[in-house]
Amino acid sequence: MKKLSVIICMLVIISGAVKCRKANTVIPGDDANFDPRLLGGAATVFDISSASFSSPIPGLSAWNQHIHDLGDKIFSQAFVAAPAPYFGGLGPIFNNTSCTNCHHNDGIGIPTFGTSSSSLLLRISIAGKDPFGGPNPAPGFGGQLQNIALFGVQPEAQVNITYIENYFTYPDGSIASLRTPTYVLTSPYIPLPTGYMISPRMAPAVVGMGLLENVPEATILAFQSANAAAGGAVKGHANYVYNPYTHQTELGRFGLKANTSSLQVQVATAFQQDMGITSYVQPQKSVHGQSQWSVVPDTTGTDIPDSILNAVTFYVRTLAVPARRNVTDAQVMQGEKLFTQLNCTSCHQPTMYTGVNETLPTLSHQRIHPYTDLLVHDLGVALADNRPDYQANGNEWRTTPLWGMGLLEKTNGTPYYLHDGRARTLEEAILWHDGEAHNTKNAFTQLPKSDRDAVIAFLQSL
Amino acid sequence: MKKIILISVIGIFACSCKKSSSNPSTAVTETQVLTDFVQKLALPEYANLQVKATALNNAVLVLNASPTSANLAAAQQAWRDTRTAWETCEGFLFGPVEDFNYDPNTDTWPVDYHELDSLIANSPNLDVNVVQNLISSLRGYHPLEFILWGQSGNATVDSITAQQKQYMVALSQDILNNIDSLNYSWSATGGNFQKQVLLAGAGATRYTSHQDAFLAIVGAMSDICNEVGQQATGGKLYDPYSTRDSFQTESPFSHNSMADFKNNIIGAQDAYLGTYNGVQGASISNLVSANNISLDNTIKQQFTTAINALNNVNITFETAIFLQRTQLLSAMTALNTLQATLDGPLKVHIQTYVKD
Repeated sequence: MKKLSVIICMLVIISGAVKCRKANTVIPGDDANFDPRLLGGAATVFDISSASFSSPIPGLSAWNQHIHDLGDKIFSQAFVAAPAPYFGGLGPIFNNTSCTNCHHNDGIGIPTFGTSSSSLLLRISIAGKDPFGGPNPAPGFGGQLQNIALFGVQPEAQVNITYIENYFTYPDGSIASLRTPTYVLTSPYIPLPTGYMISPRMAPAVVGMGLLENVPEATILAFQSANAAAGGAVKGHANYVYNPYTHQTELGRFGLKANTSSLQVQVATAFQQDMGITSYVQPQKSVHGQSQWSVVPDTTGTDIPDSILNAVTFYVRTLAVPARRNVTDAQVMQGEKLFTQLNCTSCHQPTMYTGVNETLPTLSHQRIHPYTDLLVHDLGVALADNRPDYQANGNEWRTTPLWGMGLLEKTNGTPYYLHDGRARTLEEAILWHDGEAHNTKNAFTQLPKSDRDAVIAFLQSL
Repeated sequence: MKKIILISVIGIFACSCKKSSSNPSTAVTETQVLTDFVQKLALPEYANLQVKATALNNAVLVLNASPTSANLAAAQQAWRDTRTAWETCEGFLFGPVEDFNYDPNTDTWPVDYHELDSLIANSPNLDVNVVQNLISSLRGYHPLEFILWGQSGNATVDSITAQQKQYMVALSQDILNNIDSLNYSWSATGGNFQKQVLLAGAGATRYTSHQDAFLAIVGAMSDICNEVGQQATGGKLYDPYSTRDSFQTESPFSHNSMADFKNNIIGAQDAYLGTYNGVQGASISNLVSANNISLDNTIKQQFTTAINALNNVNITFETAIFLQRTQLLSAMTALNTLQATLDGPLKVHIQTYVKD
């Protein structure tokens, strides 16, 4: 009898193990067994309002909810110059005064420089690499240009954007207008180094970040291997980047060139570079070592306590993904089919599973649909920033997750797309794709208008 | 036996549904409610805000030209009046006000004391062109409040320096410019945001269904209750209350915080009841009562309780955090209860009954 129960037990364990494995494998065509609205699996919320990116993942414990809410508050808090009774430490050089001013409603922002609603910044570097294989900082400017400053300190430079409109004509005669930005640096506080390179970055939405952080490295590398094995035009690869906190080289997943490996570093570096606020992960002012450093030296200790950095990181990690809408609409379903047929999905990978996270079960083992492979791909010369970032070359950008795309008008008023917000519609964003996406983009332009509209309708349902 | 019970239960339900939905006084259509929300509430409230901001700007100009105690008092009153209008509009903070950062541009907290001192000391030509390019913590109501009342709340016409006066004139003009733009963004001849609400589900890109637009309004009502009353991690009442620290209060120089909070909730209540300035429109309340009188009564009651609880604090917020803690706690509890009803049963009701 004992034996029998042992055998049964073992069988149960084995079948359990088999099931677990199965559940982690994406089976093509298996979508019918799942609710297509659940983009983030259990971490999905049903909200179509301007706050649709701002919900916590379901199932947080009371304490975790408390930490999430604390992080939420700090995310929307404006920081001020030190000394101040509260929220001091801003600057002395910075790009904006709060997280939410750039990540509007936890979404994207507006592609301008220098106002409270501006969400663009410029990275800057010179030829060569830093000791860790990253961009070589521009002497006197560091790796990011801060275009605002406190009194008594000069901004590193001002940035002017101009756009040139060009018309794109479809084979069927329809016309779209694409605008190309040019950035001119004026009034630098010291002369700019010769041969400097700049890269514009618009604040991305911070939705579903905890799920992306929890996608197993093996899954991302499998996308890379599949690209290589296919031998086609799509050659995406992982970016390996330096983590200043662990002092390790790690797989990059965040940032528009996948140049950051963890949410902790992403948040801490945004505090430091975008607002001039120091933390235990990034303890030096962004002005550190520059000639204006003496005007506002590093603070004793850090500007924000460890617990605040941790809370904001936790907040970003535990933001839920809004559910899809109109999934049974005929046009949307047609668009989804075309999205696959056009091979958009070779980079915008629709389905994968997250790994195990014992402390946050809602993020753990989830079947998710982020529409990204977290790899960097060559998108052609028109979109290129011509500035390498670790192993991402000047033509390469990380595949942008598409979940939440259709809600950007809600969260942002006017939506903008791509790394620098040049695209004003999803159609423009598609038309800018080139390089590895050349054939896919061309195939899209060959479609009749009704099919092109269906693809857009599908994207709007995400 | 079971069957009989089941049938009779269904019968009771059917009866009760019929009864409430045939109530003639609550027969309003969703389109009517959205139309009245725009025409009888949102547009008049923003228009009133513009009137008040214009009066504030004029009062500040008068004070600048003729610095008398009476003119200072008038400017202070005009500031309070503008705050009343603004905080009431915050009861439905969605649309252009959040899309175009009018909120952070006029109502950022805290005041950046250090930068403000440097600004005043180092900027010989402080005009509106300078101010509109400053970071948001140096723009809007609170820096102006800082000048009109002084950091300790005891400013006099003599204590306001020439530089501060320049800054004050630029600030009130900048506030007015923002309010002008905000008003314009809703106007039919301007940004025409009203169309997004009026044509919800009938061609509006922002709100693709009636339900979508109603959820935006209800979500905004819930958010403001949360912002003022949340206890878990600190709304505007809780942080100063829990730390007993008046550096954390919203309008510390004018001691206007309690009025700010109350007007926020009155703004949300107005949005629910569809009433503003004595004009009654078709309301969300009417829609709710058509299907669930009890929920409608609960919400009305909880609004009244919350506003009464705020009224029970009859000294300045800065003092109440020491002396009227029981009343503050009651107010937060009432706001939390109200917020939970708005965010829970009311949202579910909208999702259940607003279908087109």
